[in-house]
Amino acid sequence: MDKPSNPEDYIEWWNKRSDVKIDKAAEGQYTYVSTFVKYNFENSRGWKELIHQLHNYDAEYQRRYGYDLLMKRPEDIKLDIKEWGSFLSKVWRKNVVNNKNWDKEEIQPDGGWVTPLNWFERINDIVRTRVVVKYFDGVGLLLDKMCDHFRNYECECIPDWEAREEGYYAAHLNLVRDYELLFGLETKKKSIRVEIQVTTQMKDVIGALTHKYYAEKRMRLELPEEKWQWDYNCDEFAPNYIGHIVHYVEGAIMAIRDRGQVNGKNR
Amino acid sequence: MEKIDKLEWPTIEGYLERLRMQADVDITRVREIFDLGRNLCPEQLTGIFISNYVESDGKQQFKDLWLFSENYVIEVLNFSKSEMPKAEMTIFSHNICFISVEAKNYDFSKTATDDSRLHIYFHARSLFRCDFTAFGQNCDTLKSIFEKYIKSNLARGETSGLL
Repeated sequence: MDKPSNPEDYIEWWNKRSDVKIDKAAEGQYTYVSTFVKYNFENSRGWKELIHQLHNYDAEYQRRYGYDLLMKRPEDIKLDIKEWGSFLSKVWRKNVVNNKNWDKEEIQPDGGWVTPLNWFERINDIVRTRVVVKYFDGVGLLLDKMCDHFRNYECECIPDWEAREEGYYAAHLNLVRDYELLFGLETKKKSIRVEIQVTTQMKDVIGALTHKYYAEKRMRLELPEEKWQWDYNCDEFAPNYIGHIVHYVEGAIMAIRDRGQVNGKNR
Repeated sequence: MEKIDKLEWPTIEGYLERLRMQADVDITRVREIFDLGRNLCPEQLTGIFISNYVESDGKQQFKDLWLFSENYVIEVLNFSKSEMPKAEMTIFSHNICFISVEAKNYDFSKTATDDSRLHIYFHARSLFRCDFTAFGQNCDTLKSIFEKYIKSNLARGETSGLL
């Protein structure tokens, strides 16, 4: 069976085979749930207190290393809602593009279909934010501190360290809580994740430059046969190696900085 | 169509009191949307409905807000929780092609009780859809909205088979 080649074709394909439709009603439900989760999370004690704590973490890092931990004032860190179009694109990628079972008799992906009945629990980042730190070591340090912090606020904390062959490095903290939501006449409790990405200043800059490329790459159904590492003319070559090089350079900067600390020289 | 009174702020205040809406931030938001709706709608506003429900701990939540005129409906989803509420307007008179009604502990011929629930959904031929949920006494308001604006506007046309 031919794979639906984009999210629009996927919706048409899905709606023909399922009673749980992806339609205007589903979009309305998504708007309600994402807005509700964002509102409740940003008004939670855990989040408000985190903003205060980030100042403390920053001051502590300053005292210890003589550098800023964060690139932004904590008050300027805002939660965002994933747009409906991006959300549907992610559902399509999970159910079609990354589905290794598509050509088998039972085409359901491992872990089952992502459907309007379970997608709030299955998609990690319907509400998300990004915290940018100055140096490499700030990523782990902040992830650990935020984990400790949110455990005091009835949040399940799931850290996730990604390092892909394609030069993508990212650290996320997924904060899982139950939200009571209205479905028809009844309310149901759903475990939904809010995602905090922690990245470095340099990765943030490179990420902004290569975002368009990665977004296009994710929309491809098939990967080229030749390995991107051996095709210096292919679209992947430069951005992927920039990802690796930046990661390496950041590590090297840390080594130099740490040597400076040992020698008693700051800045 | 029966004559419907012009919607004024004191009428809305009375409705908000019956809903036990207490947070100033919510009331201010309703006022802002009402003022926006008066400027947006080509006709005079005649009706309002705010969807509500109750969580398992008894806490009431407000969800969406609608303003009605004789021929138009203005919808503001998640009116109290959105940072920037978005108002959408459509013409619904003789344009509704599907209605679904679900009720729990609610008898249409009687007054609502504290545990009544009513869920009404409709969509128009223009693909506009409205999803109303009411809890407790608010079911009576929803019933009245249904009687005044929805039921009478089910369209005859190509999709209905009644031309």
